[in-house]
Amino acid sequence: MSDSQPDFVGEHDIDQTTLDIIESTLSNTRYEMDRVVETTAISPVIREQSDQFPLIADAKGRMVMGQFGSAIDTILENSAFEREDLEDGDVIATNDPYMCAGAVSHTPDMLLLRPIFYEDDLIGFSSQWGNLMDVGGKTPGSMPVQAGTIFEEGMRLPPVKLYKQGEFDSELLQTFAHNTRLPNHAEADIKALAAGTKAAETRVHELCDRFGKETYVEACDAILDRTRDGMIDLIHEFIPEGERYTFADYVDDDGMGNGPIKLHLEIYREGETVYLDWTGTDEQVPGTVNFLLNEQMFKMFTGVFLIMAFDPLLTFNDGYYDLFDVTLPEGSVVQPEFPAALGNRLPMMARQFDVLQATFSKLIDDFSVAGSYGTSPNLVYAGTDSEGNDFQMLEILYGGIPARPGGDGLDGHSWWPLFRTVPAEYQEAYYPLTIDEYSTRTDTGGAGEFRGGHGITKVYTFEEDGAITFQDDRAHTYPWGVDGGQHGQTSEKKLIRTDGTEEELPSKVENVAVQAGDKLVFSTAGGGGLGDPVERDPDVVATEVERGLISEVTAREEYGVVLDDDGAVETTATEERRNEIRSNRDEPDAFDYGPLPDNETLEAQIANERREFANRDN
Amino acid sequence: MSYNIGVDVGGTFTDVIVFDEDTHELTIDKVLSTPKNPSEGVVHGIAEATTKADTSLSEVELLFHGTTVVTNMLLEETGARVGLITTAGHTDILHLARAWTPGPLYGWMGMEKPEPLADLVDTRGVAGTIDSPTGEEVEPLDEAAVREAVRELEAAGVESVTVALLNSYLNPAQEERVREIVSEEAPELPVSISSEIVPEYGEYERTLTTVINDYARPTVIGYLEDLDNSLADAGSTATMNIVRSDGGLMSSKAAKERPVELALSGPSGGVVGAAAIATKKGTPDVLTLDMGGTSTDVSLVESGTAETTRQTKVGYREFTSRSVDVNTVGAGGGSIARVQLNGALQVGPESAGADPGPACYGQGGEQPTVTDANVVLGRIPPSVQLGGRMELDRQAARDAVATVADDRGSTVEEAAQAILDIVNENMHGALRVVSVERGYDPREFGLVAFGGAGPMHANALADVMDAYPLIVPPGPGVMSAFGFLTSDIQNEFSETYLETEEDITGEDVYEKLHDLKGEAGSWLASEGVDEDAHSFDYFAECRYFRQDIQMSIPVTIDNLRSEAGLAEIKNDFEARHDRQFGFSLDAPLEIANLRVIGKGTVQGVTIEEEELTASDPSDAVIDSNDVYFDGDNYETPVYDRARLRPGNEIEGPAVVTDNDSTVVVQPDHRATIDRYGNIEINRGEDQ
Repeated sequence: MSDSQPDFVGEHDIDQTTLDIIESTLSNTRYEMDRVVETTAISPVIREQSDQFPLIADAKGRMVMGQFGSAIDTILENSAFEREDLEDGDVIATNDPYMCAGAVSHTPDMLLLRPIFYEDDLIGFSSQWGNLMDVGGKTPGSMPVQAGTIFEEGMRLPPVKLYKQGEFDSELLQTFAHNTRLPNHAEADIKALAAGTKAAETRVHELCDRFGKETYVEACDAILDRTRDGMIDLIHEFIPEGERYTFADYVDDDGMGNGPIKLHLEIYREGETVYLDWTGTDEQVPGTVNFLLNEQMFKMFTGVFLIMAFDPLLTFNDGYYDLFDVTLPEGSVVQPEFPAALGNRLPMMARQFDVLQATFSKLIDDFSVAGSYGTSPNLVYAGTDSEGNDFQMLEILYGGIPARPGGDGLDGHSWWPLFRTVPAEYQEAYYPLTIDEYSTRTDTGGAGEFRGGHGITKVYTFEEDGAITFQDDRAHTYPWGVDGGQHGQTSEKKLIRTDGTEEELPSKVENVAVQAGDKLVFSTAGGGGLGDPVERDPDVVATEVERGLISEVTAREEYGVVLDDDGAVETTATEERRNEIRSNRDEPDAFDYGPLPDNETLEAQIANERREFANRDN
Repeated sequence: MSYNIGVDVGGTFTDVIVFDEDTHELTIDKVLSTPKNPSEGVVHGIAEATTKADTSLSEVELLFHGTTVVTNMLLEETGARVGLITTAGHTDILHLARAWTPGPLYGWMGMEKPEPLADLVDTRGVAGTIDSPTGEEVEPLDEAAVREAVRELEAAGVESVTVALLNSYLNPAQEERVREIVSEEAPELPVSISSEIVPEYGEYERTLTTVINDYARPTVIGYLEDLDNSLADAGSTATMNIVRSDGGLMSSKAAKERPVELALSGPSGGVVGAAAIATKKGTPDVLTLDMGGTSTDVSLVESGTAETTRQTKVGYREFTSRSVDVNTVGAGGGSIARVQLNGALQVGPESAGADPGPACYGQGGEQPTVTDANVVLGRIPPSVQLGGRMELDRQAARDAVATVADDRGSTVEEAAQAILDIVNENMHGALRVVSVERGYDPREFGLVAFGGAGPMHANALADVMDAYPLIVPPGPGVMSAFGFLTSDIQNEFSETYLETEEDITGEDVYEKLHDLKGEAGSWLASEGVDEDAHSFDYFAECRYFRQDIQMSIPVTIDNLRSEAGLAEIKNDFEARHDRQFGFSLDAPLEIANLRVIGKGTVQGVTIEEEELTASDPSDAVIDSNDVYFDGDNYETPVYDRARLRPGNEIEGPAVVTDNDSTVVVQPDHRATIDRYGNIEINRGEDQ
């Protein structure tokens, strides 16, 4: 633990029930902020995919409620004004990750921060950020694959006041929007985010009206303290002291031929402090997969894992941040230096979660989680249609959720909460394409007593000439299995041209020209399995074969389940087959990383794939 | 002599109200529900109630029937085996479920995802393509594949079939053709097509909603046929009206076609009834609070009309069906209080249910519940037997609440007060969602409280929200059955429009709405409503181009043809957007859907008005005891509601006992009995 305890630790002069009421009101407010943004924004990414993040903080900028890495101090430090310059009705905007310590981690994420005043005193902040459709830069969607610096990733606002004392600076917004490909979207979405922060302000004012300002401020302290107490209990119960646990995993590549890229984490506890050390992680890469990991955000991720695994009712907030000590090596892929490009940080962000899960799987007995589909795959299709109208579609896709303690992974679901697919009928109505298929990829989730979730395949037929940009991962590395569970299958991308020629594409490409009639087959990775597949209930395997989620071959080869002509389990043959599997195999490792070649070979494969793609006839 | 009857089938009880059209008298009866064969309980209840009202079934003219049969079927997953025919390439639609996982981060770790209501094994994809947005058929339907799919599904044992094809909202022809083929191949299987159930874009929700329809259909068809037959056998010639989730009525025949519309049939009745009572009383803007044993339903009524929503949620499933906008929280009399590891007190959503029930029931329940807290604080006086059925075990209630007191280091009374404060706060949160979050100021609304536990908690809620008057109607425990009697025949007809203001004129919108009105009129006629009893409400669901909201803007149809054209709609939309979200945009208006609600007025009940008498209520005092309010015990009189007369005035604190609930009047409040028999509670003058 750091030398001094945070100032909110101690006795709180507040009635318990009042505290409970304020906590539950703030908790509801956090969801209300999301609802306000979702319903008023116009980008499908915000509307349908819930890609926005609320925060309510105290006057010192500590998150009391929300889902965020608060970096309010850093934002103010990087602005032209002092804390004393903040006034009622101000709203600060920034989308520069380097100006907010990575609280937003790529340029399309616009962050709005509203100081909340009551009776002329600053009593807190509310903040919300969301993914804009476009902020300019070299590719539609502003997430280029091949960029060397953040200057290629669009227009950046340093922390500036978008509203001054409630007055909206329309010239500033105009200037920003003018630099994007979709100025109307930018304007509407930013206003929606501001409305979200306003909703929080209104609720906080109501709480102050009802209970008094002092009580509200005291409640914020008590809520932080409560969470801290809960986390101390969790740490003592689940994180053994003394031993050091490490895990390493890889992001495939940076989209420019460099990879695999190693993430290495060590976790250990001394007293009440948990050390989380990313030393050993690879240096930042030339491409855009660098992830400026906000230290507070990573503390939140770590705490949330423990909370969701063992005490889901505990509020998560900045209260426990002094209990975690995080090392983020400067110049590494998790702490790149300005002006490294950051546009495609999603594979790194997702892998960081996989590594965290794996390290916890090692250190907590009887609690393991497998590896995931490895990013939030996304696709941009843009161009000008035959009537001269510009179009630009951005979509996030999903894959196999890992097998989890006590249950299968989900097929084609989102590891990030509350995301939803964009309806095919929406896409077909508003964009020149058809969705020919959206299906589960049979057998792509790792086998296990608990099966990994399957990836999905989505097939698009483009109806206008244009260009596509997408990023995915886990095309070279496998979502690992754990405790005898097997690895999941990799992702794949294929273009089928109108003349029938097929073209395999790497997982990250930018501005690939497509003609009307071309098809894109976008397949995402599965999730890893958990536990021994031959321990899986044979009837469940049979049902999954009948549903087409598992092939009969996999049932027999991996699960040792033999089915008769009607699809029912042949008990004796299954028992024999399972015994045969058991006797013919080696004792499984704790993790199944899949048939990975050695690092040098993999490096060469990745470099070669990129070279061939760059030199392809087009 | 003629009578109308409202029947509300709940999970435990079936409530029946008989209204005598000549004397305007109401007779209330309650019998046990018969979940295994629900029509049995209904027939039994009607027989008992008509006897009690000194009449017979043959004298009954109109029946108004609401039921939780579909709700429970969804919650307990006891519906039919449904076959799903969808577009090839999209058969995993329900399995993939839009990829949604719950919040917060790592929500997927504990997510429990129920199986799709149409199993993948019973799902078939067929070729055939409708272009979007033109709606033209660009690839014909593979009829041979459809035929084979139907044969396979029938052989496999499905009990009903859903047809849900991509883009059918633009052109239903292929779905209609599939339905014909199903009828040819398997004439006995009920079949629904998605373009009829939800004629709107959004394939997942449309498919899910239609599958839910077919999941419920075989049971509902059987149930309503049994009911019709049993009633006919018993000599009934009454017209059966079934209550929909939106509080409107439809015929038994229509209900068999669209049982998904019954998903919230039960709770809608209370809201509609509360709206009718509040309107009659001259306070047509009210919040409603229906607090039962395990949960509380709240909603908002504006100008006498209940707010409705297009998204209906039952358990995990959210689908597209119009319902009264009821927000449900797990807060009821049976909600269990527990102190979390970090000291925070949590009340609900876990409930002690009916068995063992709260500790005070003396059936072995040991965990402290909201009812136990009310007993400890004296709000359920010793003279009351809960529901008229049970002797209360006051010591057991005290012992249970003492566990919370121990954990919090407080007195038992303080712990009980804390339990009430928290459960009230949970309901307050729910009321905020339907009011403040939607741009309504609760201070401009009254509050109508009902359900077994509502009248006990409502005064505290009215106080914190400043929502007065608080109205407790007569018979708060059978409010739904009463509400059914106040319903009208109603259905909505909608069409996806997705046009922006630049591309259309007022005349265009007029034409579309006029066509929808035609459909609504034909439906009303087919439901047996005379033309002079038809009325229509018109709505445009608006947003800024590409937003996700659909704000329902009421349209005066004839104004569309005037100079103003669409301006009236746009102005109204912008005003509402600004009121709710605090900003407007320089962006075009998009009309996402057009909607017409056709209503046929049915006179089920008349609310009686009585003369006010003297203000002195002392004749109704039956007892007096100590009741704890915010830190102090008050000597509190107990009144018998049956003896209170219109005009009586009661100073708080007071407790009024009724046969199915207890009304608590807080200190510094005054209750009066109004001319309709409602208890109206306001803050005292000194407040």
